[in-house]
Amino acid sequence: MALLRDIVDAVFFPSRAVHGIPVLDGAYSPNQRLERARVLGAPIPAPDDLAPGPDGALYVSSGTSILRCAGTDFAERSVFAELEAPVGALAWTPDGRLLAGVSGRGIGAFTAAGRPAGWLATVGGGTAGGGPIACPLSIVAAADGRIFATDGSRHNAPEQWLTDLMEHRPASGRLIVCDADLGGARVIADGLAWPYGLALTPDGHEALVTEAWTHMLAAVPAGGGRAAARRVLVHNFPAYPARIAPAAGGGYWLALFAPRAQLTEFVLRERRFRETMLAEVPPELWIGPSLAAHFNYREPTQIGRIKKLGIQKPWAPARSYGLVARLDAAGDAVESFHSRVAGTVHGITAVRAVGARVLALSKGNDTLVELPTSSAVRDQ
Amino acid sequence: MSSLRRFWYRHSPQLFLSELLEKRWMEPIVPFILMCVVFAAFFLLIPGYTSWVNLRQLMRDFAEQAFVAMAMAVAVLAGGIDLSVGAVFAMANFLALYLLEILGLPFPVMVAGVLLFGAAVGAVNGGLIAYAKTRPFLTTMVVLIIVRASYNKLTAAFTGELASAGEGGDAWDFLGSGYVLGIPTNMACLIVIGLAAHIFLTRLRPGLHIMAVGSSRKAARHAGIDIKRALFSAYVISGVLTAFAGILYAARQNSSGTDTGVGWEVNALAGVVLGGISLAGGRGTIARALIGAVIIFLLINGLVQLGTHGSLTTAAIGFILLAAVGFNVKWIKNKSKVLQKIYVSPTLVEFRPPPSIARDAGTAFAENDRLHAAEAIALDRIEGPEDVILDRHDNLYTVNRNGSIIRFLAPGYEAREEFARIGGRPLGMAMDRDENIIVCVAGMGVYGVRPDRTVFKVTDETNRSWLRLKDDSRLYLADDLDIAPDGKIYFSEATIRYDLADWALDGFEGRGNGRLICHDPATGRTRTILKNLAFPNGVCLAHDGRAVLWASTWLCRIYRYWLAGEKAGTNELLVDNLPGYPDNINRASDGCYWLAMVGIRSPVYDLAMADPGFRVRMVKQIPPDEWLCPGINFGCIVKFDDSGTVRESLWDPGGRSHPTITSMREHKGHLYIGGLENNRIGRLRLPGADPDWTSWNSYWGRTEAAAPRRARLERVG
Repeated sequence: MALLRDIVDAVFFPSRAVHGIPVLDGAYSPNQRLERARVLGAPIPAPDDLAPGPDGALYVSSGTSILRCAGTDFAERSVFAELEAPVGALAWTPDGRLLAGVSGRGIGAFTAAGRPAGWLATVGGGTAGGGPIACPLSIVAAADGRIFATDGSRHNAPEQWLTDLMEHRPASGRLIVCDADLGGARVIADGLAWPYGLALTPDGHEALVTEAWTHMLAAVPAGGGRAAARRVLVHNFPAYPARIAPAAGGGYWLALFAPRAQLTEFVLRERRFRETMLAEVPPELWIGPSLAAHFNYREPTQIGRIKKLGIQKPWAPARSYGLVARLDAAGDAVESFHSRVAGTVHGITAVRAVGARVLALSKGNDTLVELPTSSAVRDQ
Repeated sequence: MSSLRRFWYRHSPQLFLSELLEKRWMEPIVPFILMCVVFAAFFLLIPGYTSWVNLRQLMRDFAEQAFVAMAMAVAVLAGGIDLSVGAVFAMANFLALYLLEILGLPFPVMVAGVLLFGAAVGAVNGGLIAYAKTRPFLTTMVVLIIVRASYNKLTAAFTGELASAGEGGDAWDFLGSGYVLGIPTNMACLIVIGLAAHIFLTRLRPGLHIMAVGSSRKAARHAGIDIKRALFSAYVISGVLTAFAGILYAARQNSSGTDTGVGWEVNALAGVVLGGISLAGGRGTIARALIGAVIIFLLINGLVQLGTHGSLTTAAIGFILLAAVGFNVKWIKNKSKVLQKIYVSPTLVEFRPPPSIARDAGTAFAENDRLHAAEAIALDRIEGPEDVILDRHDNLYTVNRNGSIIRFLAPGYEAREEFARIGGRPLGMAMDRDENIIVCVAGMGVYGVRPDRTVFKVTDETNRSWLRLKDDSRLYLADDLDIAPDGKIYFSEATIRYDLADWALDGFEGRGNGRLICHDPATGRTRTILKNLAFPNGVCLAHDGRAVLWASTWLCRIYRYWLAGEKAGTNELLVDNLPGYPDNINRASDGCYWLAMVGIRSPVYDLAMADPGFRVRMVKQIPPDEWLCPGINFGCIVKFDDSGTVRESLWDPGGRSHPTITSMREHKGHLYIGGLENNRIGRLRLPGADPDWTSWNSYWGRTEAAAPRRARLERVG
């Protein structure tokens, strides 16, 4: 049957995108550079996104709070704002407000003192693709004051990312744009599969969106326009992409938060099994990606993960992984940073150039790390 | 509906089909079916086709062609070809008539003379090909031309004499038109000689040499076979068989025409190829050649009987042959792939939710840190100690993955020595009364090592089950054993469908592929006690010696098989629904039993076990390293008693030092822990355990003579 399917595909859909999982090769060749990255400060519980503030401090979302990290190594932590729901995406506007994506609530604006300064909770019902913004994943403020944001899904909140993947529904994420005062929101792209990351091209004409569940990077005209104008830069990442941020000297930094696995993609094709699993098994024991390798006796095991002579082999199929890539302007990877199986810097959800340094957040292992980007360290 | 589903998966037709395809005799299935189809077609088309008279006539006409096909087959199997068969056949036919009827020689002399002629032509062929290293095709074609030309000359010269020749005698007539048990004489000869040829090629040394040379000349030479002699003998046999066909033909037809034997070599070759004998040599049987010959004969004969025009007949045969041979080549090439596609045949296993293992669950299975106190023996000096055992002098024996038994000397267990090398993958061990180590070896059977380090075979086969296609007499994967007070060795064989490296596939099947077997050293007999068990393992004699405990790894159960008492011979479920996969069971000093749990059940794997289709598709669609499997990275040790109640458990959270636990052995207040994939043996002090108790004493120690007497009394009772 599989053979028949392959033949039918080859004859009738010769240009269909290939979705076999690419091997980690070329610029994605495994290394230990992320594993050896320097950890900055004390652990931060489940950090999700980071934004460098105008005051030189770093703002990090963690659980229901936004932390302000100051000092040379951002080790002095204080609570900037506390909210009633988990906070994810963060971004500073050119006029000095902090925008935060709040699970189930939408996008909130805060003054530099941490006081609320307005909400964008919904896209007007009258416009196309309207509805509440319950799953804000990423926010970017353009130089002209416009605010771009992505809403991951119409069904699940950001912390239910695994449920959203495993439910395997038709993609329902949106790219939204609004004015600097959070008014006039409209949808410029719909039907995105968990658009986790968002960045603007240097000229501001296009918005780059990473779609986690379809493992792609696409460019959408920032001024809106027809859906057909969406341009796919990368079809098939080897892992689920998370946030993307501009890199110094052109190109982008891309965080990839979990590895793709053949078993997971097989289970995604098995509707009946998947539905039973979702209904009967606790989420941490599902077959699927994970942000970190937390020990559990009852987790699913794969043949390649069986320990041989007491050692978990580094090439064992991974449930969690740490991966950051630097892409060029066309989306091709230039270099990558890895934390392999059984590593301790897994589940990278955000990476951003802060001054001359590049910082990444390991949501799986609760750490803020500085990537060893200088060429001196690169060759180790 | 669900019961229908269960029935379907239990008696899987796929399983039957895969075992059928595994059989060697399934290779000629295509020509065999074609033969049946051809016969059935003519039965429908020609009235009276299957009447006894017609069948006898068919047999009589067929025999000589069959001999020629056999002759061709022998040459082809030797890696050559013999095109001279048609001419030799014709010449033998003429010679038989000439010697008997014109020269008037006695019948036996004539037979000897003609066979000698066949052997001589064969010797020319064989001599040239084997010793002068000429090409078989050209050599035999040249011989064909020469013999044919001589034949034409001779028949032309003796036409008159042959036409007026007299009687050949009774023996001659019997050969030509007699019957043996109602079967035409020449057909009877074919049956006898065909059987003899089959036995020759498959059972006798010279015949096997011919096959070996045909399969691979180089390998045969490296194996010390005289290639030249084997090749030479193949052509001599071919010549003799052809000559014999000539005698039969002469006796039947009593004439020698110009077209006798013309084109027979082509028919014979077609039959051989159609039967599926590889032209590359070495692969095929006499039976296949005969099947091919039958098809060709029936086609020609039947089409002639139908009154089809000659050229049309030839064309029809050509097309049928082309189609059949093409299909057959594909079949032989892809049969193993078909088998591979359908071999794994999972069954339905429905689990209930297991007891909780949570630290605060309050069950006997609640997680704790007790194994963290285990010290490591032989760290990184042992590879995969599946089982451990200690002798009376406290020396520690274990198995290594390279097939040897390793000994660590008491008391420090620092000194390591290879005690014996068996080969295979040694697994479970036990010690008998004479302090021999008896060990199950995956891929080999059950072996023993005497205290003086000599290795001996205990058993490597059991009785075959007759209602199963697969030959299950050999031991495939013996995995654990124990010894009863009367010396009988009880051992489990995990599966007969996979080898150890493919244990996960057997797990996906979840099917009863294993068995419990008993070997009696007194009689040397081995017999299967229980069949169709799902990965039986952990065989252990109960403390009173009246029952065998064994674990079904995939079903997460422990069973008790009674040896004595009123329930003798019955198998009962002792512990059900364990939270992990049970492996070895061994005696504990307090009258309970230790049980190694090699892995803990995960809810998604339980779900997969309830969905056989899911597992089949998984095996087909994703690579082996990615398959979902039982979680054997973390295990634990459990203690249970004779009533099946689990008393306590010992855990190593995170599987830091003991990822897989497959065995444990209590000895003098300590527990020694082994694991199939581990790099160490664990040693854990057991507070409160009897510091003098040893496993050997528990089996053989108490008042040397009393134990066997008691066992004997129980058997009588």
